[in-house]
Amino acid sequence: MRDENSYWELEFKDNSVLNESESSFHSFGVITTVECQGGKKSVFLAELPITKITAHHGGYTASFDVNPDIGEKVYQYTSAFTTFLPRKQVTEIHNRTIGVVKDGVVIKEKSINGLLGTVNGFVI
Amino acid sequence: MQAPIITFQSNTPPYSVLNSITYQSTSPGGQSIPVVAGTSSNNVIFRIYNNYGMATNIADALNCYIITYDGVGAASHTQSTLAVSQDFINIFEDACGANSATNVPVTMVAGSVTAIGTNTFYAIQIGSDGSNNNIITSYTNNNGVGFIEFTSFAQVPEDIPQGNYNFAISLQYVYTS
Repeated sequence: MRDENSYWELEFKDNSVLNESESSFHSFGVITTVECQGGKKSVFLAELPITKITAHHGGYTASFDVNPDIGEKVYQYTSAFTTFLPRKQVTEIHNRTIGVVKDGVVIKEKSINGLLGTVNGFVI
Repeated sequence: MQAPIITFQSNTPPYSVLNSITYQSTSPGGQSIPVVAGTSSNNVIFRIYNNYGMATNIADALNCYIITYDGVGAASHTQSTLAVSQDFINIFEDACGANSATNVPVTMVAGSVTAIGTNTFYAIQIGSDGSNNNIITSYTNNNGVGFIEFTSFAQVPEDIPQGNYNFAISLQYVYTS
């Protein structure tokens, strides 16, 4: 079920649309280690002909146009933080991130911080 | 997919959820004593599980990093207390595995000892599935209840004043829905 405060949407070459209430990147993605700004990270990379990815989080929106014909693929994830304190463990959800990968390298990324109300990212 | 259910647990059966971790030393007579400045504590071993209760529709935890954080009181989340700002805690991955709620198949890992604190963190080196991916699997993707086992100890600098130093240990991660 889609969290109305935080979800993704995908658009395809045939103009169809898919969103989080209908599927999961676990279903059509492949876990892949990619290069990102000199480091590495693991993401579920979508293996579908996606032309646009959009994320909604905490009232903010971020999106990227994507060109699958030149090998661009997308990922998205949510960042969380579980802190082990005496007698309790607390989980906080911070960011929602979308990104575009080409040839194993992240070429675009945007991250919505729902707590700070900011959208940050980069394009290379 | 719902968010990972991350828990800090014992490394021995029945793998109970931990209430706290205390770093201390042992005297020649076998008694527990505070860590003396300029020395290291005894090792403390613990596990971090994802979805130990085997709930349905739980996501894997990816890109997992262990950090220390000021946990309670006015200094919370400031990373200003000495244990955090001076990187007291050293940690490394010593094992990983999946399906440990039942049979405990464990793969030993020789992780790199890393001092964690204000500006440093420890990234999982071998995923719970034994891969090079930084992942703690969640059971619901047919890949087992994943865990990473860590060995940790406090290495206290020589010039630290006597006292109790409280701090929190956090796992930062991402998940895909």
